Amino acid sequence: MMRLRRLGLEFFGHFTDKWMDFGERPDGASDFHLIYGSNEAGKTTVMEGYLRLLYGFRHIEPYDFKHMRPNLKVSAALMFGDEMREFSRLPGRKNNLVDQSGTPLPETALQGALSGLTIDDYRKLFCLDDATIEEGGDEIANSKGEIGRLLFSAAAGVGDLSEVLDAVDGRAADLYKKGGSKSAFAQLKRKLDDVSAQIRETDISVSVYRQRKQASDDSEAAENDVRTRRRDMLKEQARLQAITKALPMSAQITELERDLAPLQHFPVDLDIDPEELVELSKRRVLLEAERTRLKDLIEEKTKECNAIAPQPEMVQILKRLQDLRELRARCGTAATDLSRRQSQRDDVIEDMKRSLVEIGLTGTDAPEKFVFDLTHLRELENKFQAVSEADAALRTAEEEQRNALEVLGVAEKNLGELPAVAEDGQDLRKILDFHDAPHVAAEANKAAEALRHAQRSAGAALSQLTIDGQCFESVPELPLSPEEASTLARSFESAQSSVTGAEDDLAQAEEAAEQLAARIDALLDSGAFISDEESIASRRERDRLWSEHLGDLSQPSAATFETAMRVDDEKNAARLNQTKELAEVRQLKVALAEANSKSEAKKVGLERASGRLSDLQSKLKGHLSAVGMKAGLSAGGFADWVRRGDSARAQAISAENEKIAAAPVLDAAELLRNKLAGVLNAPEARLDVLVSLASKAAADREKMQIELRAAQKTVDDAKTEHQKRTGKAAEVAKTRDAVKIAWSKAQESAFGDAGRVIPLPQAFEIFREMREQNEKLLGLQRQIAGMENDQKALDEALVPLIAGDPLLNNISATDAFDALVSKAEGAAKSDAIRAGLRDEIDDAESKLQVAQSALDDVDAEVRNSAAIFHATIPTSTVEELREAVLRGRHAIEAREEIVSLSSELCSLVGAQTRLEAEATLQGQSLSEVQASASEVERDLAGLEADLTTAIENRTRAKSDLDAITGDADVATLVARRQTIELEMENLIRKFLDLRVGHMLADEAIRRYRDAHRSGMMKSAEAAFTELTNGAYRGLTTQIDGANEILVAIQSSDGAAKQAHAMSKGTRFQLYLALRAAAYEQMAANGTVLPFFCDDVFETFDEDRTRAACGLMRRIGLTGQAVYLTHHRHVVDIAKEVCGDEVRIHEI
Amino acid sequence: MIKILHTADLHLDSPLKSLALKDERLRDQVQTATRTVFKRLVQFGIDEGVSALLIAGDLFDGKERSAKTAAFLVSELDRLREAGIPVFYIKGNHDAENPVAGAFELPANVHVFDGRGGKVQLADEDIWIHGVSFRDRHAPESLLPKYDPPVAGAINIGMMHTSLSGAFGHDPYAPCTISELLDHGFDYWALGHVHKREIHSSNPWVVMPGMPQGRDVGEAGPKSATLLKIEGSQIKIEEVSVAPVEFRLSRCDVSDVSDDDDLRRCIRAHLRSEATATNSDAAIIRLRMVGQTERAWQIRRDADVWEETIRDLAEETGCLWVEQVELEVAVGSEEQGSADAVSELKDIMSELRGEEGFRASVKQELDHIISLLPPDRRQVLVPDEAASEKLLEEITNQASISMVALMKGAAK
Repeated sequence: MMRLRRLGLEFFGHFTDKWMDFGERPDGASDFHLIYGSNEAGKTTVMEGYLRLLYGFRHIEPYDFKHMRPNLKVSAALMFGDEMREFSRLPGRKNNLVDQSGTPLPETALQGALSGLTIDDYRKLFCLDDATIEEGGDEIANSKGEIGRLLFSAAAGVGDLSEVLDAVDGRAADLYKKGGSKSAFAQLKRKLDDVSAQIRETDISVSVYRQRKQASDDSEAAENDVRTRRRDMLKEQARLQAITKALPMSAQITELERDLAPLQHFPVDLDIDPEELVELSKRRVLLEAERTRLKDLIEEKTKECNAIAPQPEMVQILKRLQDLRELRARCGTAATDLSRRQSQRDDVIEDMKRSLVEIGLTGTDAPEKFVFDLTHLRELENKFQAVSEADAALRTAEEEQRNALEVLGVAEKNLGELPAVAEDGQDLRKILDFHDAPHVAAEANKAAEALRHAQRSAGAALSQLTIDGQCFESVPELPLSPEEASTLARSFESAQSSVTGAEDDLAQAEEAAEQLAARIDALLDSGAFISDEESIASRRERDRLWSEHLGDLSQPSAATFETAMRVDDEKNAARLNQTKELAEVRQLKVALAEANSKSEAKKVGLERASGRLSDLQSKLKGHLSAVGMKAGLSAGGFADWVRRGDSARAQAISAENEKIAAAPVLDAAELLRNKLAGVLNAPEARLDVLVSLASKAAADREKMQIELRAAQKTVDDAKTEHQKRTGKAAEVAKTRDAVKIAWSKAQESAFGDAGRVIPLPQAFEIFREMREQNEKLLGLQRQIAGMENDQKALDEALVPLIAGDPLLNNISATDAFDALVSKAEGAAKSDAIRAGLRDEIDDAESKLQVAQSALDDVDAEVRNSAAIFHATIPTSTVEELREAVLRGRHAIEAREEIVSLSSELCSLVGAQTRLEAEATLQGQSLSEVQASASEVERDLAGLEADLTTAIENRTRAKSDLDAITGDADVATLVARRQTIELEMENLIRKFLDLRVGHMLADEAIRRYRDAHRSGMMKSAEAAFTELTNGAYRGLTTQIDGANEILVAIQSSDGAAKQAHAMSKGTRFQLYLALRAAAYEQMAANGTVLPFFCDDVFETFDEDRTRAACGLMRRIGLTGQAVYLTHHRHVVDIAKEVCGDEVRIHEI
Repeated sequence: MIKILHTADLHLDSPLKSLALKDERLRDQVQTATRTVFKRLVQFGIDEGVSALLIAGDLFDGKERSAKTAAFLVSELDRLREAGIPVFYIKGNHDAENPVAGAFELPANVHVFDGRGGKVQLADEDIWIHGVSFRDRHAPESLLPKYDPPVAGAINIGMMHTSLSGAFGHDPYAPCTISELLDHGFDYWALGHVHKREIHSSNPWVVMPGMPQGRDVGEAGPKSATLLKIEGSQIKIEEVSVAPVEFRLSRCDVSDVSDDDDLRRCIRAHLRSEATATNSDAAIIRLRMVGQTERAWQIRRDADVWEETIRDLAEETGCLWVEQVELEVAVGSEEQGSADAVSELKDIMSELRGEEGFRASVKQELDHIISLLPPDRRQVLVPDEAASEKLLEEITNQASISMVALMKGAAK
């Protein structure tokens, strides 16, 4: 068992040299400590400091904000059973646990006591805070009440091991599942099969290599053989083919030589193309035909030209007419339009007149007088409109003026109806304010109440003094203080106890002495016993007789001496035999002497105690008589009475003080009461009633004054408004008059006398229409005038052109114009034809000259070309020249062919000269040679087929052999297969690790639960009942299928309730109960360590907090419980629940 | 100066064995590492202008019998042929059992010693290479009698594939002692077979070069070949490291870490020092966390998270890849017996592990699961009943520790 005796936060968090002493473990009581401190006082720091002591500082230490990390230090005195050992924890990576003298200690110095728990284990099992209890409560609610799991989880302090198992199971199934196709193993298996198949497909064994090598060598040899035979056969075939070609070639050469004989004098080289000569001949014929055609054309056109007479004056007239063509076109249109436009103009004038009649203006000859421009018309309308608006504004202003007058009347009436506020002689409000009446009344009430209470208490305390019917009017003067009385009582009690004790001791001592004396007597009375005295007497007798005998030296004295000596010897011998009894008697005698002495001492003690008691009794008597009380009251009773007397005196003083304190308040209240009573005429009324009445009266009066002031203000406002409205109406009337005058002037100016009859405002619309009609009229008049002007202009223009033509003078200007145009255009056309003919004649004459020149050139070219030929050969015409050229070319070709054929012949038969070639062919028959060639060809066809087959075989075999390359594909695949196999093995190992782990853990957990459940259940039940303050009286389980459900039994109705149906707070309590049970279990297993709670009662109501304190006390009975809180009420509750069993530490 | 490159135990195309290769990035970087290392050795030989390459057996791996391996080998040896570098090769026990070795026609620059042994003079040099190949996968007798005596006045180099005096529990392979080798009178014994490098003697030289590329954590540590520099009658040697990846078995002491940040710092520092010590392009590391710390349970509980964190931290170094994290952490005070419920559960689990009934249930589960593995792996994992029992013990122990960690961690 380990216990915290003292904890020192020397340099840690915000603490410097802060020590907390947890004291000795109380005997038979709880070791429960409550550490109280306000927020931020460092409660959690205390717990963390303790954990640092046990486990060392953290790598990144959050508590080094005040003291630098190298300076941190926590120390503690820990109890291990009865042994106390002191430790300090320093920063630093090694040797950071030291003892009191600073000597480093191994971690095992603490680890042994911690049963190997890590810091996380410690926090989990022995520290509770908001977070863990919250999680714990939720876990219980969510875990569906599975009992084993709940109890197990609480004992282990771990969330949920079954989740761990489920996760392991899931992971194992991912790796391998029997019959599954999606597991990682199944996938690897597929990969392995694929790779193995690829290896089989791709790899080539050595035996296959050997076969392929052999096949390749064989096929190559076979192919070479066929190739050799084929080559020989081809040679023979070539020879026969050459002879076959050479024989007809020889004959052909002979034939050519024969043909060439008559053409010997034709030139050896000839660069004239006969085709060019054909072209030349064609060109000459065409040129001659062209020359003839042109001559005929010139003659014909000259005749036509001479037949047409020229008319230059008509052409001039045509130009003038062109200028008048536009005018003529307009006149043509006007001929049909003019009358229609004139008719429209007349209609418009009539419409305007009719409009004027509509507004009462009859007989008006010049309607355009009433056509106004738009601006003028708008001005007129505005002025007319202004008159209407001014009239309306005047009407409105007059209306508002009337309304204001009415409002004023109503306000004056309301003001008159309000009652007048009377002027009081004494203003209640002033009195109330001056005296601060509500405060004075409240203070007076309080003072009176306090005084009454003090007097009641004093009276009650005084009545407590009554004893044995003796009453006290006032508190008597006490002869002793309560403490002295208590001391007296304790002394009295002690003295009485001493007397009783001394009496008992004396009785015991005397009884012991008597018993010893009786025992000695019994031993001495046992008969033959020779006592010391007897022995001494016998020795003395012998010694005496010996002295006598020495004096006598006679026989009788010797005989007497001898007898005495013998007796003494016998007695001594007998005594030797009774040594044991003798020793006992001696011891008993010593004891008896001691007992007697003790008895004497006890007697003295008794006398002393009796004396002291007697003194005390006389003192008590004196005190009793001093306060006039009868004797007989015990010292304890007297001490109690003195305490009551002291209390009564204190109460009396308190009442008096209260009276003095209340006096000024009550005086002020009375003064105020008198004043108010006078004003309100209620002399008997209480102050609070008077204050209330006065306050109400003052408030009513104030309200009335406010209403009166408001009514007066309304009247004033209405008057002002009426005056404003009257002024406004006069102003508007003035404006209206000015507008009216302006309109009359405008009307007079626009319409003159007619203005009187024109109905307005309707007439404004007629005037707008008039204006539009007038626009239309002006347009028509413009068109008519234009047409008439055009006709006149055309007539004037035609006069000089038709002066000499009577026919044209008698028709309309347009007709005359058209006839004249027709005539002039005819004359222009004839002129154009004549000019065209002249041009054609000029062109033909020019072409004729060109044709003649070309004919001359052709003839010159023929003559030049013919110069190369022998004089005997006819070449005077193009045709003759061409014939000569053709024959010359033939001769040249024959000569070249003979040379070429001779060369080829030599080449075919492998001869150097033609003669040699001819000699080779001598005696050869073409038919025989051809027969031999056919035979060779057939043989060759067979060999070709053989070769194709041989090549195919060789290629295939080579290809097969070449397929065996040094590429790494198989090696790569083999490596891949190897890796997959390793992966499979690795996966299998992992699977087994999980699977076997699951089997082990599952069984182990089952056994663990079985082992721990009943003990846990019992402990948890007791703790839960206590924690819920008896609201639940037990925990039990119900079987539900495969599960066991944890249920709690309600005390009220015995109903069973599952965890999820409990309130959140109750679930927390259940969790806490399970944790307490776990603590007990661990303690039972020998692990007892300080248990820390960091303010976990946040969600608990007062009753439950009380119960929880009880639970902590309960843990404190087994081990050590430390609760950290910043709630003062938790401290109070803990004190109330645990009394002396909780020790409070304030920080 | 004449340079000769000596290597052995390439085990071409024998795959690397590590869970770290799950990561494709690493796979891309180091897959077919045995090929890469051979390519690099060839390139090194060409660049350095060596006069010969000595391969002292186990060029092939016993299991890997793909003709493609031989095709690769031929193409690489051909590069040496083009550079005019002769290759001397003796067959080791793995080569002897591997049919690939004899099936391909090796380029003309390669001299393969047969089982009768023999010697070859290095062109234009007074250097003789002696060698004897394994005829069979077993060679219980010493091969030393088959070697010719040294050629007088010349440098004599003997190539031998041997387990030397052997190791207890392993079959002997061409056994002989160092002193026998020393007595034979050769100037340099170019050995092979043992995968760990060791210089047995320096006058004359007896050199076991070790394999140039480790294949799993059992072959951890830096690997290399040996370069001989011959000047007159003097021979000096140098290590040649060309491995693309090495395996490292590493212990990280996490005692006294106080929180996660601290732990992370500790691991980061450890991994950095490992990265600095790595000779190869990359290292596959098996990290064992050891020590006593209060955080042991949290570490065990969050093992997955830590493993992931460690992988990330390893990645920061740019060359380390974690194949496995093993936990050997414990709470210091754990042994004293703890009073909390989980500790009690732990005790119950400990009892359970010893109970026959429980063991029988676990055994049934174990047998079923093991039967799902490919036969090869199964054979490696549980070759016999004793191994099965041992595995069961190991798994129940580990499972118990893991569960306690999870349960302890559940409320923290």
